[in-house]
Amino acid sequence: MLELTDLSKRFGGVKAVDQVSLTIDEGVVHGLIGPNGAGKTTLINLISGLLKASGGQLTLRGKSIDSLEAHQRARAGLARTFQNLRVYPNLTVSQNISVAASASASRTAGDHGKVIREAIRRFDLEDKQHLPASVLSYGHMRRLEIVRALALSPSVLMLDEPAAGMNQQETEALVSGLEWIRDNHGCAILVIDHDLRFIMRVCEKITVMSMGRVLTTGLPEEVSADPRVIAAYLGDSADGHLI
Amino acid sequence: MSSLTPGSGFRPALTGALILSVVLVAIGVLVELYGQRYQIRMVYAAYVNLLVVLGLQVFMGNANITNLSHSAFMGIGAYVAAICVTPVKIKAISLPDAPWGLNTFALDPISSAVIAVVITALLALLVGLIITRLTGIGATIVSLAILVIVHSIFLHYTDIFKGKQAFFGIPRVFTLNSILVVTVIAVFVARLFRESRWGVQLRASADDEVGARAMGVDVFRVRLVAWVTGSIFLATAGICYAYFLGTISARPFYFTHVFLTVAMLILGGMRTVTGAVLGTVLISFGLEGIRFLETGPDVAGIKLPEMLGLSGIALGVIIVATMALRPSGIMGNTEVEQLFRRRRT
Repeated sequence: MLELTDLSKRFGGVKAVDQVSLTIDEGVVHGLIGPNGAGKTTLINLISGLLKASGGQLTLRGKSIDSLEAHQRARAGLARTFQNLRVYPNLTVSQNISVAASASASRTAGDHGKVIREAIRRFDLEDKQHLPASVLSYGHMRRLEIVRALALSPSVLMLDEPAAGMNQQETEALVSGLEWIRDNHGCAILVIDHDLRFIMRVCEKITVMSMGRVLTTGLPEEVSADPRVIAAYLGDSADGHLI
Repeated sequence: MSSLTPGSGFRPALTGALILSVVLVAIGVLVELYGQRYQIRMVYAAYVNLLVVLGLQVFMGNANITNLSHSAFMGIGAYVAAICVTPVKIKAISLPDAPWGLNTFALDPISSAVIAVVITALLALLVGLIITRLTGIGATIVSLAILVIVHSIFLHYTDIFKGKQAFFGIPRVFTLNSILVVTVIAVFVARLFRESRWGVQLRASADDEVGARAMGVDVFRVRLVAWVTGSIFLATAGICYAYFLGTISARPFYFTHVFLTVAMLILGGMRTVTGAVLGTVLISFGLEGIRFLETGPDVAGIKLPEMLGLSGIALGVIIVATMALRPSGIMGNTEVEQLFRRRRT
């Protein structure tokens, strides 16, 4: 569905993302982990078009999207949430969602509104629709960002640390929420998170990044047993594989 | 479907616009019935300023980008309409050296107004292509430069604009009734724009530009739409001004007016149309009181000293106080109909 080929981003002399190639498949929850500074958020910024790539190609359903602006990529089906929340505080919850819904390519589709209302129910925002987003709790803002991204009818949903700051109970709800999205929306989901237990639970496939490069991609059990991954997380640079 | 489809806020918007319109029309009718000529002129001027403030609200309020060029666009609207509508006989005297045969024709007031609106909007479109790509200070400084450029042209291109002299002989076709109709339409348009797909997307971009782009909002484009829509309000204000006074000059379209109208919008609250109306009404009436004090009147037998410049000080103080105490203005995010709903529940 979404294909990254040798995607790179340099900031001055620093290679924040260095020739990353990756395929995100339809209907798969794909985890993206790695130590701080590994380039995970930069990678999502490159995919969503908020950053311009220094090199490499991006294709969505076989079509190149390299020349598309951020808003065009969103309409083409690349939706995301933000690690540091970016809800619109002066708009109500439903207006927040309507911004994405009204920009979506499928806004004229008959069941678009129904799908969104279902998501609002599923993510526990139904009684909060008329509140300004600024008064929501942290957990509800995170949920609002997810529902808002869903309102774009995405092919790929990218979640940047959706479980950050959530308690055990909220994380449980998030896990089932993500499974619900996967089963009902037919989109690929790319999740960044530091909570490895959470990632291992929801993801069918995991990519590990370190220092801007892809270390490995595989099934959760393969990845968690990989010595390079363990070394990267422990910061053991003496390991020959890392250098 | 209700609240998620664009334009679902139209019904409350119509209620809100209706409430504001009733108040505005009531003020107008009362003044018309019981007011002196001077008071009618004052209310007319207040309603012209209201058109400007509404035009400001459409762009500045929804996009949260400070604009200081609006009086220039009002001036462009006024001058273009004046040049088109003024009879040839008068132009032969007042504009003997006008280029492009501008003094050889005269149109009816409606065609002149349409031409003025179209030309203002086209110029705004050109400027907008630059301004909408800037944010914050950049956009504000460019808007200030536009104000100065346009004012210099009005002042120094005397063959067309007569410079410091008055451009006279414009048919005085408008009355207080005419501007009441125009203002009511403007209130409805501004309010519907705010709740439209463009309006909501623009307000999202004001809250978080990156967050809006990531949700598919073409930020430059919605800004441009609002900018040009706002310029139509401004041109209309200029036309109403010219059609009532019959005489215009460059001075009213400059800094003092920019400052006055910005103060109105900031006091009422730039995020709402209700705020634009409230701020305009409060400052218009407040300034009348202050002008009375400026002359050093007798109050309860005590002769007050003359206090020239008090109105300028008062406007400055209003801006400073609002910014310090209530940065989002009196109304904040609340439109008038929400006030009633809140009280009921």
